[in-house]
Amino acid sequence: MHIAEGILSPPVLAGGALVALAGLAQGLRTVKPQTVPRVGVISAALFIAALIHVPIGVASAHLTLTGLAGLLLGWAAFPAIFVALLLQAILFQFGGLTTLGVNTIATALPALVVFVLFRRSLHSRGAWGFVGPFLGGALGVALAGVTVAAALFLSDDTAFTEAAVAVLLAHVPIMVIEGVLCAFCVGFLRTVKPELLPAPKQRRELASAS
Amino acid sequence: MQAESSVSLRRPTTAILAVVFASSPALAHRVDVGAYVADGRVLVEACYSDGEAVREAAVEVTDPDGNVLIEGRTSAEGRYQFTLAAIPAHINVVVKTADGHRGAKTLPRESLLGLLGAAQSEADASPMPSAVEPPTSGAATSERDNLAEIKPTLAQLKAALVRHEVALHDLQQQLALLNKPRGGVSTDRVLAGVGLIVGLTGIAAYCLARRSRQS
Repeated sequence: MHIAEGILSPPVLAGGALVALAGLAQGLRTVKPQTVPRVGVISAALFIAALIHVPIGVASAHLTLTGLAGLLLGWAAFPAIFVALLLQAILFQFGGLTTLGVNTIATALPALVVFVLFRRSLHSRGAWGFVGPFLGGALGVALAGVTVAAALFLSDDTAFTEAAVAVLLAHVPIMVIEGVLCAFCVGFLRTVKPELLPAPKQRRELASAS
Repeated sequence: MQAESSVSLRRPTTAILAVVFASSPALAHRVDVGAYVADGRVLVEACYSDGEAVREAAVEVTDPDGNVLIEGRTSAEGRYQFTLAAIPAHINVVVKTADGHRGAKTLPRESLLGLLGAAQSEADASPMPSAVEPPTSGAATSERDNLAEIKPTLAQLKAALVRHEVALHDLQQQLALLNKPRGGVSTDRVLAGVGLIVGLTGIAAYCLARRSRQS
């Protein structure tokens, strides 16, 4: 998610930066030497995903991979997303440096929610093993849209519903695509490289600071 | 475990590289604004970084003090045009969408003088012929001979004027192309970003490995 510079009010920007810093600190604490490569790979994927434009719907929207990042990383999604957004802001002028905090939250909080809600589906072999990641991928995009709408609402006189509808409408096709993508990615990893998925044992490490 | 994770790294990396090269023309999520003066108006065009027009977005034109001069909305082609009564030191043209995208373009006074020129040349249109006449009446000695000479001269003037107008039109079209919002993200930047992430990952892995060895 990229809110451009010059749209949000200073209090929202400052609040966003503080919350993002806290999340970042917590995320970095959960990263273990074994999980560093995974964080890097997901960060690179997130960095590039924003370039994949989906030309369906009313507005310009692109892949975010929020749900997938959450499912694979848990708290570590914060640093992965932060790095991806930072480089997108510097290299592509997507979003901006001042809005980096808000944009990090708008992507990482939904990722975390998806992780908490759907991590059990990661190693499930039944239908839930497909439906869970699908819902996770779709929900990640939807929640990110709602967070962006909330940030716009908090700093401007635009009505929340108007902003939310504008953002969500733009992302309905993306939600479906990301759901499918997420489900297939998780399914693929489960079959081919289950070590890349947070293992039941590792799960606790990723979920909390422990 | 370490060796294992570095092996598992290979497959996603290939997937990422495949994505980079498959997706380079389809891009999104930055608003580029182009603005220039032509025919006495300021023409504005806005597109997303994938080249798609920014439709139905709010346009706001402000002067250096932040006063709003003009407000409007882009058309279905992402275009907007306006004129200005007075020309400030510079103007900011900002295009904003409802979902948090924003792009801006600053036009300095020099680029806006075309507005003034158009207004002036309209005002000067009537005195112009009389400005041509004085030398002819000034050279008064043999007026009839001169009048005969002037007729072809006027035709030549007209032809020259048309030539200049055509040239000016060409220039304006080239200017329009130059000012077209460009969009797009260069592949080098994509690769640079991926490289940076790989590097950062390496540094993080190194630091963490050192720390766990020490403890």
